[in-house]
Amino acid sequence: MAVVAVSHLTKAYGRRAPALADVSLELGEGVTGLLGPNGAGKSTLLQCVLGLLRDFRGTASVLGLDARRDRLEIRRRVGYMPEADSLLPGMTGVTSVRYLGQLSGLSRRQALRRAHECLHYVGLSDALYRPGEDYSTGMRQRLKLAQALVHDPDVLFLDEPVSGMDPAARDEFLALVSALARDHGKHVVWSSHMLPDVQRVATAVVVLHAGRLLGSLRIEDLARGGDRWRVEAEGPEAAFVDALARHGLALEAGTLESGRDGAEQGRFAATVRVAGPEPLGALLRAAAEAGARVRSAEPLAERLEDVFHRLVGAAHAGTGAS
Amino acid sequence: MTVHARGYRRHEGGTERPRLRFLPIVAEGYRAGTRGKAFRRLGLLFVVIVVFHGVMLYLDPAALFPRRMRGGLGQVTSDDLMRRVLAFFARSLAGLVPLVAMFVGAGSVADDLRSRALPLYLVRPVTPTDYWLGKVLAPAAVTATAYGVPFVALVAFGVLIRPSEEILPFAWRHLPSLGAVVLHVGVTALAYASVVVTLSTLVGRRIGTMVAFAGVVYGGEMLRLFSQTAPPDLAEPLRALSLGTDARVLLHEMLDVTLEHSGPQPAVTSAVAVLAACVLLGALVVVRRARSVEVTS
Repeated sequence: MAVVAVSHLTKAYGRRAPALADVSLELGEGVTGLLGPNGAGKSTLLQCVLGLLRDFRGTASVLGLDARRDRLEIRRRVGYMPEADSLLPGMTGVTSVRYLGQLSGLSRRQALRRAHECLHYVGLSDALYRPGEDYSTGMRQRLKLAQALVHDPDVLFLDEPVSGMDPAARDEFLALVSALARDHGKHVVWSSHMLPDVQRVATAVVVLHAGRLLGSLRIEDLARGGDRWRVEAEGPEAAFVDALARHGLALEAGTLESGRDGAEQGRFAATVRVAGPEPLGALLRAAAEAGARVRSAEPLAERLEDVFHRLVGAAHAGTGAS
Repeated sequence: MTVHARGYRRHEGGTERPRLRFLPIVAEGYRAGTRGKAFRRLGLLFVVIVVFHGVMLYLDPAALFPRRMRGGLGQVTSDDLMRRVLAFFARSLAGLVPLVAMFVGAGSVADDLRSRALPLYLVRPVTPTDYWLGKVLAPAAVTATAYGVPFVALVAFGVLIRPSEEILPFAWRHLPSLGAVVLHVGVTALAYASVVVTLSTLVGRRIGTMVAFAGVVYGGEMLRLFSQTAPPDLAEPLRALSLGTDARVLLHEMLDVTLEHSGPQPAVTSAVAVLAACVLLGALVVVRRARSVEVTS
């Protein structure tokens, strides 16, 4: 089931270029990273699916609920953690979480109990009755998560949730969100610029740029390595490079390392882009044709950062060309 | 122990779909508004004023009547006296009541804007109209409590000082007076709360809101007094610019009382129009501001 689904979503502010232009995407279960540079349209997308903006073209839904018609029901089932340091003024941690629980439809008694449970869960048991203004940056992030969780939503929208946290607190936070998705069936949309964190916690990502969907991928596909292989071989280097080209394989510029090991002249290593259904077979055929011997060949695990920059770079190039 | 090892407990009670979604905002605002020292000090001042009026009602009713009527005070009924005390009490508190609304309501929206808390409301099942209602009704409720409780106490005192056989008939006769007081208190509280919340939204800072509110309320009162010397075309609009006087004009109309030395008074229709305009303008400003809030990502 699609947790968030938008179809042909277009939203423009006045006469400016549309903030979202004919975007169609589906965010599935588990943790999904929502990536994009500033101005990509992430905020507009979020506002459309929460029903805060209604004058858009196309359709948007969360858990099958229509964003225009069922916006209040959607907000009952979504927890939102803002990036901004949003704190309810003059309230203690437990008061603010209880209050937001009441606004989400809990009775005062239920909300107070949930506030204690959620603050305990995020590790703020010792600061329940301290004013939110006195919290450190990391504590504020955890308070915001407790606020998002208080009404036990099915979907969490987390906006830069670990910004300002030290590494230990960040690790703890990532583990916590993973556990919410894995053990408690929460669906999480994680919007962030911290790509390594997204790669650690998400099962899929979607990339927006300039109001358009650039692409989506599953994180497990990154681990499989995509189309980049690291090849170590020995033999005639130049002939091998020529043979690669003849078989439609591309040597990645700047990756050829000759004579890597001083004791073994004639060895070389390179990163090769291998397209097609049978990458290893193609590599071996090229090597055989060149009279070289492949000593090792393995797909390179890609970093999300590389994929992101590649997609955004290609989009920039496309925009420049046009 | 890692955080997630502490265990997340799912909520099993379900959520409600209340029609009055703004009530938690009112309740929270009311609690915050009545918690501070300022409210307690103002409350003490109100008690002093109630006691003063109670004493006057008991000991010196002549002070409440125009000089020309004092000689024939024997003809003045206890009902007249009661109505005049209530009208006089409203005038005595005219300068203090707006202070309650100001202290309670000045930060209501401004603090949310400053601390970027507005999106926290709007990503929940709360509409901009709910937000406005909650933010306006909280200071209105606090003001109505601070103003209405002494008023009702005074009515009760006026009833209880009657000879015992007259208490029930007197109370029965003054039920309309009590209704007029309740309506007047509600209108006054709502008008002041609407203005302070509107200014809080427009100014965006607590202190700035207080200054602007004082300007609107006390400036309006000065313009009303100035209307005596203004050209005839301008006089009626200027008279209606004092919100406190507008609300008192309604009370006087309902109690059928005219107080001496009250200065120029607007017509009832002008007073109602200005009070209604304050509330509608407030709704427009706050709802519009809430609609323009952006949830960033």
